[in-house]
Amino acid sequence: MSPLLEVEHLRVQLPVGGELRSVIRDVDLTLEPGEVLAMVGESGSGKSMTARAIMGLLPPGAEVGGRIAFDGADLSAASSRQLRELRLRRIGMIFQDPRAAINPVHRIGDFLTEVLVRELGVPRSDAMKRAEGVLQEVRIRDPEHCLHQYPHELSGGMLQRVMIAAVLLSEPDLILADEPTTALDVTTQAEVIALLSDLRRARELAMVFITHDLELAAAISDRIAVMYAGSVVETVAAAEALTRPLHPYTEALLESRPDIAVRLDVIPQISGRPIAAYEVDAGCPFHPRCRYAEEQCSLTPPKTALVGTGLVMCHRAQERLGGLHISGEQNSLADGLGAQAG
Amino acid sequence: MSTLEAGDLKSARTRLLVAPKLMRRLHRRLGTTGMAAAGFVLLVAIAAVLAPLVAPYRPNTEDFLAVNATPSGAHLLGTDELGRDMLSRLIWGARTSLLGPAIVVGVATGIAVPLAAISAWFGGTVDLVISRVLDLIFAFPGLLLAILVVALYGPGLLPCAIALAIAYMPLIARVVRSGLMRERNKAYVSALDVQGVSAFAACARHLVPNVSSIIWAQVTVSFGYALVDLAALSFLGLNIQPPTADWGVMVNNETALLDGHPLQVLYPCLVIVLCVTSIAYIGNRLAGDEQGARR
Amino acid sequence: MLRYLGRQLLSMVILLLLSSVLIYGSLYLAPGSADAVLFGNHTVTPAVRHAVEAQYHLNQPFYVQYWDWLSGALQGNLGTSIAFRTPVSQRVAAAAPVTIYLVIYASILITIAGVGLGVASALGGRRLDATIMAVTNVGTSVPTFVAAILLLEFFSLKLGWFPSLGAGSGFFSRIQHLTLPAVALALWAAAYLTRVTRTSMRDELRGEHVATARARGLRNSLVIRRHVFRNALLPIVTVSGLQVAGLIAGTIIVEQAFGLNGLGQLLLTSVEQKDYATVQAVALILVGAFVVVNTLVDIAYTFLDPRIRLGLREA
Repeated sequence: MSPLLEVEHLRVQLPVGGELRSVIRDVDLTLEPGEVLAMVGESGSGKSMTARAIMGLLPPGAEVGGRIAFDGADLSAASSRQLRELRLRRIGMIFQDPRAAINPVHRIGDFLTEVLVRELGVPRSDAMKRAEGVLQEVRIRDPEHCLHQYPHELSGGMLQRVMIAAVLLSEPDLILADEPTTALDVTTQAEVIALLSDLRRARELAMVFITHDLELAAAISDRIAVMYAGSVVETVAAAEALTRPLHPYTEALLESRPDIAVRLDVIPQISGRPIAAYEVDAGCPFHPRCRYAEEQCSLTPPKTALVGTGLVMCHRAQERLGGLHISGEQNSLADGLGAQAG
Repeated sequence: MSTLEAGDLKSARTRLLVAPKLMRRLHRRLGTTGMAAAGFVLLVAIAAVLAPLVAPYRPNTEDFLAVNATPSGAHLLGTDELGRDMLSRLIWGARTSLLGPAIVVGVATGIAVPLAAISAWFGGTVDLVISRVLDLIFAFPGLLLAILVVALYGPGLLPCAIALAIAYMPLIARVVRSGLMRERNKAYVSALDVQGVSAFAACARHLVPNVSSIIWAQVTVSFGYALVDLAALSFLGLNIQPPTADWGVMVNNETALLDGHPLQVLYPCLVIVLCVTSIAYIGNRLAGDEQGARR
Repeated sequence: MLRYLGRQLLSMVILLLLSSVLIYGSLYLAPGSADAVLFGNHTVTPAVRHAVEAQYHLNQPFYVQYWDWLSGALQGNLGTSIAFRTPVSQRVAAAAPVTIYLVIYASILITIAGVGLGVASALGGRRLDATIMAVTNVGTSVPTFVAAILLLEFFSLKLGWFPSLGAGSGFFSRIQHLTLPAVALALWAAAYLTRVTRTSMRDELRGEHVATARARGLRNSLVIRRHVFRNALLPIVTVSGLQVAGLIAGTIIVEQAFGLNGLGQLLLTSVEQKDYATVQAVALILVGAFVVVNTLVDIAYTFLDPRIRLGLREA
């Protein structure tokens, strides 16, 4: 089976105050039909930009290099008409904050049906019926009433369901979900996640799920791509990421998440500050914060290589696979890390 | 002896450095264009004050041998239909043209700031009543209010300026009030309350000074509007009366246009536009971008 | 929704009533107002004075006079001009058309030029944007009366394209006569509206809901119309309403500059002649129009922003 989405050597530069700055340095991704890939990383690591680059929604003036192919077709060669066609029928995107993403001046019904009616020539009454159907599918209680409401009359969680419904209406093969639960409160988050994972199973959707929460990523996805400073540093099966992180950054991300079963006096943090993609110079982008860094890490950039079952971009991945990393060591490491951060 | 000298030198230097420091602060606020604009306005103001010294002629000296003269060495900008020197009239005209807006802004701010302070400090019903009264005044366009006042008291600078001051007051009060409201909610205000500082002292010494940048921006922007409105009132024959030299009066000279001497009208137009543009630019810089352009 | 509308209308009526009291009251208090006009320097016997005062209801207390005036005004009777001894409503009716045409003409110019240029500036390339911004910079720095004089000098006297004075009769002649005054009146406001439209469009263009619309595959023209322009409309409507309301005062200047016999001229001549009944009437009409336009803008708001319509956000 050929992959649904292929991203190769994606580079994106954005104009900032007259100069171009890298936001994505070199990203490779593949996604099979029906697969869920989670992209994890701190804010500014380039995960949202990757999604926007796939959608062709980068800000004006952006320089894009590399190749993005959807279902075998090269998107960088696609005309804007073809891109629009893809967005209309094949790729949908869910944004972080539904309150900002849904236009406040139109009724929910208008919002849901505008693409069907105005672009796909569906008669308005049919479109409304279908909208009611998908609202039911995203578990909105009174869909008919909801169609007549304005966005500000709904809660954030409800609005995100409306957003998901809007994406479902165009029956896409791929959904890009850009931190779809970050702006919601905790209980709603769980509901929306459950809804998304049910839907993708029922509809056999492929999904790129962007989040900064590694555990959430592991729960919802098949594979995880960890991003740091505009590069994918590790791509690994979801289960492996939690138990056997190979890249030191993935490991640090895991440790900085407090375990509710164990009471810690100091919540471990990753020392130093995350750097932006344009700040990366020679060597590994993570080396200033890496506790395993050696001399070569600051000199030559590591290549991405197959290590064990995952793709890792680290000079020392092979030896780490060999046994340096033992799960029992984690606590003491975390203590050391916390002290270092303090 | 030597230490004394060093001390003297130091104080002299600090004294000398005050001006550049102020200039640098101004430059940061206004930018280069803003400094040029401020320089121009300052130049006009100085010329107005020193009019008897810098103007080549008295504003109403008539020279019937040089009626409607084109610019020459004797009359740099030419003369009008009575042979009065245009440059001198422009310089003398700056006096009323700048004095008027100063009165407007002074009176308007003088009423607006205390009202805004009372409104912001007491809130509740007091705030509501003041806001409603301001709304009522806001329903009268400044020009119309001035015409009504002139209908009562006859034409002149003072009635026009007072009328405009009343018309401008609500807007200034509103902007300052919202600034004070934000300030009022800050922690240090409750600290003042706890210390037993009186409402008046708290407002006069802490709240109002802390929104001074908002007030200055309003003062500048209003000054520009007042200059335009007062010139317009002169143009309508309601403010300064001919033959007194005033920019608005000088623009109201259709005979010059019809007789083919447009420069006599274009000069005062140009001066007004330059002043208004400069002041508006400074005001917008002070207010921060788009804010000052409200109205 | 209805409650909101009701509140708007109620506050408009209150504002109108209060301003009418102010207008009537201020001129009522004018020192020796009516006497001076009526009797001039003549000395009159108390009996004559009494009879004349009774004729013009000058012997009644203030609130009675005010009520007579207001109830008359509401029925279209604006009182009698003491100076001319003709009904004020006749003089107003003769002057009003020119002013109304002028304001409508200028409003159309402001809206078309302001919104059109603003949208072009926001969506067009850098060079177009810079050009339009330069033009609006000039536009916002030229006061109305200066604009009037400049237009008069260049297009009427120098080039002879437009007549310089009078309002003309018949539709085309009217248009020709009123073009320069309307442009003078519209210039400042149009330039200002251009800037507001541009800023508002740009703010909306950056909005996340625009990214959503694009991500869903909506074509650009629809994105601009339904998600950028539609949302940018709120500040645009507010500002154009304020500008139109401002025109009502500006028309006084333009009528004077172009010698148009409109309400503004009537107001000015009445002030000169101390014809208070006419001053009161015209002032009431102008302030009334100002207040009504402002209220209409507030109501337009409720139709544009569903959040206000449901009373969730105060204007």
